[in-house]
Amino acid sequence: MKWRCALIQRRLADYPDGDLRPFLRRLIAAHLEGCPDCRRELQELKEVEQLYLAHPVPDPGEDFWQEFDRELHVKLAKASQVLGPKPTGLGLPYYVAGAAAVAAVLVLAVYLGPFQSPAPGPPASPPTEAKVAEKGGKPARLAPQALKTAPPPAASPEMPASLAAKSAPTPAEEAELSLAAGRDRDHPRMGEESLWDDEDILSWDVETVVSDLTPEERAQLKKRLETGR
Amino acid sequence: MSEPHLVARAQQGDLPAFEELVKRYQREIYQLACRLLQDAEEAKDMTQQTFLQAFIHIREFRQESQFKTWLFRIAINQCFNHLRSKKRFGDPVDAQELGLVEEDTPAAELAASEERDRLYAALARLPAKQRAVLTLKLERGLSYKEISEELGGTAGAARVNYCQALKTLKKYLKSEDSHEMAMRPYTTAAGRLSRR
Repeated sequence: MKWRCALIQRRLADYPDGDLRPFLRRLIAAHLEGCPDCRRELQELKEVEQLYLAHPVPDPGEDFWQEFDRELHVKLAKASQVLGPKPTGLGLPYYVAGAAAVAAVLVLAVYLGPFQSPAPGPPASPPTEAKVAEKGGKPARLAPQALKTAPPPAASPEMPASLAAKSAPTPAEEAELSLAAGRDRDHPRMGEESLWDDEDILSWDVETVVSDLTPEERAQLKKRLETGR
Repeated sequence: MSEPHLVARAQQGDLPAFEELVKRYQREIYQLACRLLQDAEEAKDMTQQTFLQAFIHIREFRQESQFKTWLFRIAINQCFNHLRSKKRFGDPVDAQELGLVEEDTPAAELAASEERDRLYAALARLPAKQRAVLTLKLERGLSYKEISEELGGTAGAARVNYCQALKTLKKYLKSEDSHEMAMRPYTTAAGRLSRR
């Protein structure tokens, strides 16, 4: 069958030591046993291979290679001067390095930029003075201690002159009173209402203020107010 | 020094390292060029051109394949480009043009030289790609897969090229035999004289 011989002869070049699957190798071996034409074809192909291998390209000699190396060295030296040294870098593409730089700038801007939470403000004012300010500086009742140490009320035109003059404290008492009151009269705090507002003083109820004093104490207080001591 | 170290140093611009690689492969490259070009001087030029191109582009070599495979691919491309530019794919060439047959050959070696002449004449009639496949398969012992990596294409195409090359070479040798039988008195003497 010539069609079978044509198929077998396509793979004869790889028989028996070439790149053939075991199945094909067995198939070709079985066919060759019964086909003299394919055996002759295989023999001729092997002779061609042997002829080819029998006449390799001979070596031209050491003189040839010395001249070859000399000429090649000149060409390589010229090429080396043109190319220059290899650039020392990370070997990253420019766009990768640029993207990394932009990302680093954004991260720094987020952490060091204006997006931080505002710093905590100064501590709040003491609650006692704030409460008094909220009440409008109008104490309903004064204790005897508070009455003694409270700073003198500011003078107003409606206030009786005798009372204003008599109630003026001495410098020592004035300092003691201002310190005890916890406030410096000469340097009042910003936005803070005076405890001794003139209008508040006039709106006091005297009976309420002295209700807890004995009659002797009331007389003594009156006497002191009249004499200015 | 191992080849990967030499290649790495050559990629840094180390010329002596590259010349060490040249010494390792220059003979094989030259033999391949001789088989493809059938001319000794052109084979020498193409061999030098191969190493020059390899040195220029060695920084692009990423060691995904062997350096030898990459180098031979450059050599084959250089030879094919040279043949294409000169359009000498099928010109018959005498062995004397290769500079391989000395003029003072003893009589005992004439048979061998004539046999060599026949072989080279038949090889010259083969397409360049089939000559390349024969060289890579028979002289270097590469597999069809390795041949496809150097020549391009598939392993199956390399196998077909090799089988066809053997059959065609056999046919040309037979035709050379019959032609020589008819032209024997003219070929042996006049043929050499005409090419000097």
